[in-house]
Amino acid sequence: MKCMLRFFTSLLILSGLSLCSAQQEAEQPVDSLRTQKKYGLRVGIDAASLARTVLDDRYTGFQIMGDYRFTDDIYFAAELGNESFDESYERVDFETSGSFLKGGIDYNFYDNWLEMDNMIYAGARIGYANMSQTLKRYSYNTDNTYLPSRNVFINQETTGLSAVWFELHAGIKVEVLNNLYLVANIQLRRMITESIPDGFDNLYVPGFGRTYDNGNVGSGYSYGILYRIPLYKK
Amino acid sequence: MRKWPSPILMNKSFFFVLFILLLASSGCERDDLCTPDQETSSRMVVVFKDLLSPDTVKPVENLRVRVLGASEYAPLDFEGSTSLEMADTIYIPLRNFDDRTIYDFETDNQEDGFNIDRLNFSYTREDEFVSRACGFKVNYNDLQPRRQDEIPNQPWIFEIEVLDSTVNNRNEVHVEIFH
Repeated sequence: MKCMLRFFTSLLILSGLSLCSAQQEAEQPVDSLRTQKKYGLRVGIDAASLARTVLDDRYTGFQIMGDYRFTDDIYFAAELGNESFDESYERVDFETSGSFLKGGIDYNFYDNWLEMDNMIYAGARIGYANMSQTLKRYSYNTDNTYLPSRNVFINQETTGLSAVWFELHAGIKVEVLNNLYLVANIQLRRMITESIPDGFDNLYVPGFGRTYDNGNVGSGYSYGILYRIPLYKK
Repeated sequence: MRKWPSPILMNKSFFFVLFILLLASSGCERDDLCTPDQETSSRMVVVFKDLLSPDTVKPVENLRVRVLGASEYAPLDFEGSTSLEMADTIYIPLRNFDDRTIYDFETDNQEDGFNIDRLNFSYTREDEFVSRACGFKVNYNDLQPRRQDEIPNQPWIFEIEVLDSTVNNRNEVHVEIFH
């Protein structure tokens, strides 16, 4: 029994060693082929908000975005923009407008070959928005139709509202021409704090998107074009 | 940290497919519905009691109530009944576009016959946001009921007492009527 145990232990160690050495052998040629990476600042615009501005009557928005390569795989990233959204529901009409700023990092999970420079990345952001909410019309929720109800046209604007949220990104950045990139991502958000208009709520937050009646999460997406201003190689 | 090493990721068409998938996955949004469990403008809860023994509930025979000027009778419960044979508690709506609602309370019984008493409920209104799908609800404050005099004066309602002058939920009794 003892002998068997020793046999298996040594087998395990041996196989472990051989794995290690195999790995080393595999990695060495990659290291020797390592090319220099381009470092620089990428700036661009979000085509998603431009497209929605054209296609969706309720929406007007513009967003610029950029990142700066910090290490091989870590980028500082930021987005800046403004949005306005004019929505009519059955019982509430409102308009939101304001601007937002997001900042954080992107981490590249994709191992590029040779001089390729693409990213499959996950990112994290802190977002901040400054906005105004205008409640334009509302009506009442009733459990019967015995008495006539009415619409209240109020046009009540609350300015100076703000919101702070946390955001996760998952997406890709692909170099399609030299220094020109396509970017696409999906975003998951969670509200941290927001100031709420008196007697109403933030139904839409610039940069955050629409909110939900139950819960403080949101989601979104973005796609666009980035241009890299090359600074140095490392 | 070991990175994503698969050579399939080299391929640019793979990126294109991923790009399309990302775009497609972002198109779905949840719907907002106004569900019955969300708050509504509250109805006024009225309990009928015995004038001679004020702690005892005394049902009203063949009760119907109607807003002044309306042709239809008001719902008295959440099933929508507009007439109750023996009513001890009723739930009636208040107007959300005016600071008062005038109701005619009708009863009909063997001994005293048909009788209508006119009650005037005044209040202040406060709108409260419920949700984007449901809109707002009204809370009624400072509820004050008053029986209007009639000629000849033959009331069946003798006293009205406010237990809770804030009408914002259906679980409280707001008004007691003694008859």
